[in-house]
Amino acid sequence: MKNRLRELRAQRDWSQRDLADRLGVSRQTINAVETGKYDPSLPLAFKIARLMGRPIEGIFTDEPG
Amino acid sequence: MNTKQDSEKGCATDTGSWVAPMAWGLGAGLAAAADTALFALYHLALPLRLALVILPVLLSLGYVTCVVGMFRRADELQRRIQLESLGFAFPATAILVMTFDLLEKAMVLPATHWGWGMLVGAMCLLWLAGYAMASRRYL
Repeated sequence: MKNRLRELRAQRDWSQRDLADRLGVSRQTINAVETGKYDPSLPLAFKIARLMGRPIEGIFTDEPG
Repeated sequence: MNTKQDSEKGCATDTGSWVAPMAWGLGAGLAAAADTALFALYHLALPLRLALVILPVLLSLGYVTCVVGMFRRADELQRRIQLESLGFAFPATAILVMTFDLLEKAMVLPATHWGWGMLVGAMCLLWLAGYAMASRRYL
């Protein structure tokens, strides 16, 4: 699954740690999601979408990472 | 895209929660080792022997409580990493014990009396190895 998390985070000038703290997960999780090594659960994807103010499909796409 | 902290590949603060369980586990191991030495050296009264047996058991329960709490607090990726590391450590320990046992029965290795300490040590080392391997996958 591909995602635009890194790009959206950069737009807000947040570090991975900032985003991790906002989402209540570890920085390693943010890094793994951004690099496509880990696909987040649906609750975490919804949380990310809410935080970024976009629909889930605006962040995650069903294409091989 | 190069953003803040992208170059950070370590996860020191994320693994900080290992300290308490390791302290409990180490305490339990040391208490058990001290018990073994005391029982071998001295003939102690029954109540004292029972108290000495209970001490590492209580410390082990503290360890279990700490580990379960750590898993509950962990985020979803950390839980997956722990699942993968335990999924590796559990069968790997069984394979290790089976291999040594068969090698001893085949008289390739001299007979070794595997105490619980060696078994627990192997489990912990394989859990750590599993954790390192699983962590690397998501770095």
